[in-house]
Amino acid sequence: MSWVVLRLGRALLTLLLLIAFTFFTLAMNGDPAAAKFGPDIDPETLEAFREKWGLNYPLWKQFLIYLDGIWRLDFGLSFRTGRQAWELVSARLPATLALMLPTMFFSIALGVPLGIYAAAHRGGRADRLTIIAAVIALAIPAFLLGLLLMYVFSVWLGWLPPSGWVGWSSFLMPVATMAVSTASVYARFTRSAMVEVMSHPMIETAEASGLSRRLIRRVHALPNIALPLITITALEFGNIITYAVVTESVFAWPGAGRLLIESVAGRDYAVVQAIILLTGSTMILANLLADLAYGWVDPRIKDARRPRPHRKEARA
Amino acid sequence: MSLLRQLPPLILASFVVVAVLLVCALFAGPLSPHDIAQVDLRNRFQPPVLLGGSWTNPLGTDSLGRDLLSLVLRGIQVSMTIAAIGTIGGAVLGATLGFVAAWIGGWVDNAIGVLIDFQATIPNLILALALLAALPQASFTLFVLIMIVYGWEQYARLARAIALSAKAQPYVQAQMILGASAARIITRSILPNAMAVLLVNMSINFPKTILVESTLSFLGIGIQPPDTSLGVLIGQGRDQLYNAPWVALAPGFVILIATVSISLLGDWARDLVDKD
Amino acid sequence: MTVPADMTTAQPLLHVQGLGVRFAGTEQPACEEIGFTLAPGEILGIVGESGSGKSVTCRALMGLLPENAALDGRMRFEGQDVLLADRRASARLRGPGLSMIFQDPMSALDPLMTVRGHIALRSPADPAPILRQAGLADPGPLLDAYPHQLSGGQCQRVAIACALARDPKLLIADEPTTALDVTVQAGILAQLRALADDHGMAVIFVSHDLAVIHQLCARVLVMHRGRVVEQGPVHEVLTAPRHAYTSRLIAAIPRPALRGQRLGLEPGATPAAPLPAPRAAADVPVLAFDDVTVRYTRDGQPFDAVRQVSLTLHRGEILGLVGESGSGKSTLAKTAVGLARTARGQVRLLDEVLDWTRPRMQWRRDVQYIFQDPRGALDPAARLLRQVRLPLDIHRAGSRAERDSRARALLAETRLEPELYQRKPASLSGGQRQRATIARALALAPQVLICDESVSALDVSIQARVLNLLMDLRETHGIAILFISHDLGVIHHLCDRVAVMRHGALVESGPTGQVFDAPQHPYTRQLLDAIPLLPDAAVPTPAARNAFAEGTA
Repeated sequence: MSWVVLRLGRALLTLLLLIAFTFFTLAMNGDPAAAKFGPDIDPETLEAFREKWGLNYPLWKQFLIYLDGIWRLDFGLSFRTGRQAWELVSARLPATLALMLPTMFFSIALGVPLGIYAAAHRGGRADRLTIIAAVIALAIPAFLLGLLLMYVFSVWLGWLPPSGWVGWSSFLMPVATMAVSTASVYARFTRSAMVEVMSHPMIETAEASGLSRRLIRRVHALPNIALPLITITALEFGNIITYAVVTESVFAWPGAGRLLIESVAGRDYAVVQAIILLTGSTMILANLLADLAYGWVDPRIKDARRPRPHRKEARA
Repeated sequence: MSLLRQLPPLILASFVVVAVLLVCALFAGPLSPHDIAQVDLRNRFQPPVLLGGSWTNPLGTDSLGRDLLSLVLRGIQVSMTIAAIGTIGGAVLGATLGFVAAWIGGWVDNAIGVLIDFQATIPNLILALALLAALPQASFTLFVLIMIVYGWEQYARLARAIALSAKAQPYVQAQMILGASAARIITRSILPNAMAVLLVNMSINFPKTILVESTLSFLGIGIQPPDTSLGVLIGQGRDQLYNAPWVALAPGFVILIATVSISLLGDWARDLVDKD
Repeated sequence: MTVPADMTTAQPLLHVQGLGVRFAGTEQPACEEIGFTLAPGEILGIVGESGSGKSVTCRALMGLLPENAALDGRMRFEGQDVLLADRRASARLRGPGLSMIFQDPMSALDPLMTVRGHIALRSPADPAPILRQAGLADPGPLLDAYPHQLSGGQCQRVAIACALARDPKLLIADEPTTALDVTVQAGILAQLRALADDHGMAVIFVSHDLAVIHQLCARVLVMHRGRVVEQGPVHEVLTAPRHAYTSRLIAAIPRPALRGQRLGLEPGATPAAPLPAPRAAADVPVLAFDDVTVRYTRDGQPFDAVRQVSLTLHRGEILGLVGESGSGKSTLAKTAVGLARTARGQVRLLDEVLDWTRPRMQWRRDVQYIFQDPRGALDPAARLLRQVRLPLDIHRAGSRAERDSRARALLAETRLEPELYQRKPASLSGGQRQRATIARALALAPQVLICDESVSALDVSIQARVLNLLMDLRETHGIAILFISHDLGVIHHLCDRVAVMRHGALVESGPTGQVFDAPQHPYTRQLLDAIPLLPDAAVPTPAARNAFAEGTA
């Protein structure tokens, strides 16, 4: 099980790098004491604060203090509101998750079957349409798609509420905006993975002993594409977070993504760093889980004969 | 996968679109009918010709009465320039690191590998946001630098994989046996063979860079007014979606056909390369 | 088509008529007018070089060709008529009727499925007896193993078991042993023989190797450029070939009677012209391995790929290095060019110890290495002339014009036509590529040439030309050659001395005749027993040579 230990070590290393990144961008951002209290503070309080938080210590010690703070979910006070950054972020998380989880579900539920269907009819009209639709869907910026949907369904047809939260119908446009590109990633990836697996010699062996193509697809192809799909899901998670940030801004959705944009625009770094650390550690965890699942399902990795397989590119 | 090959009309159209965009980007100034800094509040929200406007402002005017066509042309210029610098810079940076990692191996490879992992872990847009938030002042140069950082890890991964497999190839080993220097082998043997793959990745990355730039600008944290880009224009037009939709829709349409046609070309090019 | 008399009496299992395949967008059909008959329990060989259409023929029978192939012809299988163009009809016969196994056993199985799973997909019966029937004597511990835990030979036997699970009347085996070591090959061949004899299963055995066909099959089909040029009992075809191509194919195969002679009947060359006997090797050692050990790390464990091997190569000598995959023969050779480092012991070149932490350019001139894969050996993006000039460029030998003319001379010496010089490797044949790599290796006039399985990937006729070229080089340049191969026939043909390696250690070495005639080590004996040999009588008769001469005139 040494690869598990190695993999865990790498995840921890990446996490540490992430924390170091936010720490140094914070340091780059200027004096945290000044950032915390604003410009109107008297020098004594400032000095006392520096003493208390160890800002006079060498950098490595400050980093340890910073680490300790993060461990206790203390990301500092929001510059704009004066409240704990973590409080602000966690209050906005449910709204963001309410967009992300349905997006994930619909992307997989639509994209994967579409990809399988396209691969099974490779070269046919359905296949060609799927590919072109996927290329186009991926090329449209999320904010533009959001605006177009808003223009058509709210401004023009007046069917849906343009922004904010007024009821269940408010979900439709944001989720659609996010799911279109993610679903096309799944469709393309599934299609090419399926085509690749179906050209593997084991398929010919199976056909040669008279197994039906349907059965072959079920017992050989599907398990073999399930593995890369796990990896792609972990990677797509990051894209969905990105889409959430953009989509929330377009539709004035009260989630953490909009909070991030507002905080970046207002240089409210405590909040920004909290969201970035949250995003990063979620991604690290997602990738770790994907790899562990991979190793658990794939006997070749369990045997540690070779290192982790090269991760498939997100592009299909 | 020769599907897009069977669709030359679409590819041809994409080539034409890209050529037109290139001309617009290169000659944005001379082509503009008006000065983009020319504010005329009495002339606000003029509709485009198609919606009954006049030929003075073919695409209409925005909330400050500026000529939308001139703004869009400038937007194309800025967006395309940033995307080009970002794509080429990212490719050079990433490919160099990838080749170095593969060739030297050992701890250098591991260190670059951790960097690649790190970059792949944080969604690019979020990383760009973090850097932008940390910068005290918005700056064009720094914004371009962030665009270069965007996507470097894909090139690094590709270049590393290509160099690693080439290193095990007899034609490279034969040169090692002959005592050729690493620089010679990489620049004269591995790079020419990797070029097709890298170029295809660039053509796929180019529209993505446009997307990131325009997204950030749209959100108000990229290119800052008074300068403009396609994203800035859409961001400015979103509030007038009810009374003057063309202000957002005209630059939106340009982004749409630009990214779609470049993506189609990239996809087509990849199929060509994959076939060999 | 002539059908031997004894075949017409028994009810044939399979009768194929007018089989033709043409791929969309190609001028030439991949094969045409193939016809043959097969009796139950008979083993039919199909032999031919790459591109001769033998695999396409088999896949056409199985209905396994892609949609862009246009099929023609019909077959009668167990009294059932099938039009080959109707893939579904052939597909219905797969499993209990026809089955097939392929060349690459390691990828023939699903990496995520156990051996038990593979069999269970095809038969509800107990998998153990089926595996035993495929020659896995103790299937118990293998049942829950995954393909990557098996050896290549075991994988191929599982693939055979997959076919046997449906109890087919006919098994098509497409080069099933080409990727396997010779001792493993012998076992698989014996198994196929047993299945035919004991269970009455008919086998179509496709191979490029006439010796294997001779060992296994009763009848053979010789294919060339998509056509059957000759068919009949194996012994007859081998001893008295009627078609020019068959004679040429047979003449290109190294065999004891032709030892040290030119192979093949190239136009313009005298048939089987004897080369001058090797110059008395002056016993000047050029390359010496002294007690060399090479250590790798595998799965975190130190592992000795080469263990204390001592070996000396003399000037003007061809030394054969034999061993199965994983025996460490390539690793040993790579220590001479710095691609592998010695953990203990030393390598001496002309009495100078090679220290690759401080390499000298002179060493890099003196030893050249030719790899197995002629495709990977050349830079796909560079033109031929530039590639052959490359060693001269790296070592800055003379002016640009001098390098160019030297490169041209080398290409001419390896008999490559001038119109090829500005081409890229993709448009060259395997033999042309391998000759270009030899030209490149000769550019710096090396003392030692290391050929690492350099002819293994080539068709026999091309292999013959390369072997002839190597013998010429030794003759004209007095170059010493370390020739690494798993093919004992080639080694016997070419080498003055032989060294046998196994599991990283040297088990035996000596003059070729001595090692082959009186092997001392049991492993050498085992290797020698496993190689399929052609009958000596199969040397082309003068009549056959004349037939060939007429054929080319």
